[in-house]
Amino acid sequence: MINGNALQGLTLMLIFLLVAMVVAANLGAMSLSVRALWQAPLSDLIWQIWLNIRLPRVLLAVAIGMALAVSGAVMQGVFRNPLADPGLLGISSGAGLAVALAIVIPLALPPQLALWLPMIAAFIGSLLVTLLIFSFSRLAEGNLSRLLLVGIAINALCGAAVGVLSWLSDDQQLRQLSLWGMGSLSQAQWPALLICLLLILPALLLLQSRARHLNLLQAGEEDAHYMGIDVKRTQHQLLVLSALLVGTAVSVSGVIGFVGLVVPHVMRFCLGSDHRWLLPGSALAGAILLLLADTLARTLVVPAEMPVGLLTSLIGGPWFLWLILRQQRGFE
Amino acid sequence: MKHLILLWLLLTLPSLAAERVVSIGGDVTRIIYALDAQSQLVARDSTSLRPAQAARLPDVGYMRQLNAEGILALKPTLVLASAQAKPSLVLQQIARAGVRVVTVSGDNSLQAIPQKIITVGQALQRESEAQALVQQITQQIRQLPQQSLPVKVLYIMANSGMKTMAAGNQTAADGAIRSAGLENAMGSVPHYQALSQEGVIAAAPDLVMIGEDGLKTLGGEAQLWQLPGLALTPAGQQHRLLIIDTQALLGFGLDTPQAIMKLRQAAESLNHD
Repeated sequence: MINGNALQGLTLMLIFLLVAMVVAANLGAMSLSVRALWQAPLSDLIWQIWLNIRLPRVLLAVAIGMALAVSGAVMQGVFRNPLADPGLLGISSGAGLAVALAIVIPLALPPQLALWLPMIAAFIGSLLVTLLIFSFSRLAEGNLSRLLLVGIAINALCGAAVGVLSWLSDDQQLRQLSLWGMGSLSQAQWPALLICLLLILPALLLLQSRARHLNLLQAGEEDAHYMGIDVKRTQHQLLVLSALLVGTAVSVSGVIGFVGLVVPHVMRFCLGSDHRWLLPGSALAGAILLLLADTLARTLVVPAEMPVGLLTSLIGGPWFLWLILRQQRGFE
Repeated sequence: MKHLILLWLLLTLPSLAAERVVSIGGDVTRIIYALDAQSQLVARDSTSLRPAQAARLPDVGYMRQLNAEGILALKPTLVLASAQAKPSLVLQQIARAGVRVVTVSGDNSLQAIPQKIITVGQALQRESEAQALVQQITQQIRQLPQQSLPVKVLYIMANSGMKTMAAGNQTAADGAIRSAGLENAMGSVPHYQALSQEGVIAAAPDLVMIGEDGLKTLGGEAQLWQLPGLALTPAGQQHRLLIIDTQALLGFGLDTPQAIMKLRQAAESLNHD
């Protein structure tokens, strides 16, 4: 069964995303057009800036946007709860705690490594929480409500620990900590981007291949079981994959809200709730939203930049409200 | 023809030698102006508000939230950055794009001030001006009274949206208070701490010190004395308040020795009461 409308929607979004990427790669504090690039020799400073600063940033925005939105869609599907979001299982807060530890408890590290320390710490933190959730979900035998409680407990625990650390921290560490929490894509550099892509792309593909199972899960665990799915295993795999997506995203960009919670809802309005279309739709819409937000973040207040998390909410929020209102009117 | 080329070289050399400088850190910018090198300055960060002319330059944002492309678009040849902006991937990216990045000390001590001047002077090739300025500043530092005075000072930080905090040790305020030969009333605890009623009473400050903006955030002096516990302290009973210029006193830049002197004088006048 091919859903013509959804296919059309996806194609439109893909075209829009590609156009937006080209436009975003042309916008920035430094005015450099594709034509200027074409004429300049590769060794030139503008190529330097385009290749090493702007291009990785555009690609990173797309990758992180996809990761956040898809993991949100999967979490909402697995928990069959529209309020589920990537932060729910405590992965972001685990990453936040690891970053706080890295900032407040100084290690004697070579300066080159010290720069990447928050990123590495966040990755380790989110990985640890993912493992914790993984083993818990085994112990709880896939009992989802218990898993949610575990997530809430991890969130509370990590939040408190970050509180203790920020209480212990000095002035400068405190500022570093609070800025990390705001989320930003300014850390975009090739090594980080490549590692990100290596983790995000396979996870996205694997999730897409499980989309049909995710649909069956919507009928309820029992029904899904009778339709021939190993329910617990599937839930397990879906959660770990989306945890991997969130962990990767958080470690490079800090906590960027809104994308994971709202984009899947918007896509459900537009494409329906078939996950085979919902997942790629969320990926494309998440990428578009974060790319637009980040492009504005780095061009609006040139030569400075704004926190991107503010802009995702500012752009996405009104649109989402409008959709809800329209939906409401449709029902009347 | 030869003459023309020589003339051209003579005319262009000074402009080739001039740097395009981006200054990151309020203290750094202030020093650049004091060395009369502001003509080379093309941008500053959001903490650089002094002197007033600096505020007219393009603002590259908060020192810990810089944008590499935004800074590179200004085509700088030199970025002078306070150590408080580090570690920073953005500064590393800028350095990798071929721009010289020089780090200026970010310590909260009087000894750091001459160091900052020398670093900036060397980077801008204004060593002789820097030497003169260092002498002037060391003179001011030397004039600060050495003998300690048993006056306990409490520095209150009130930023909107945050709890009212008191400065413990390892803070810029602690450094300033001790440099004035006074005691930090909250010196036994580290960093900035939320104001607690009993803690304030036990600290028994003789003098309360607050920034102009902080006082505004609290809603004026009357509101300040309403803070928990403050009314029961020696400072609170006699309403001894010193409103300070936070950038001057806590920035550990060119204005700091004089600001410390003012603090010392305020404390000395208390003792005569």
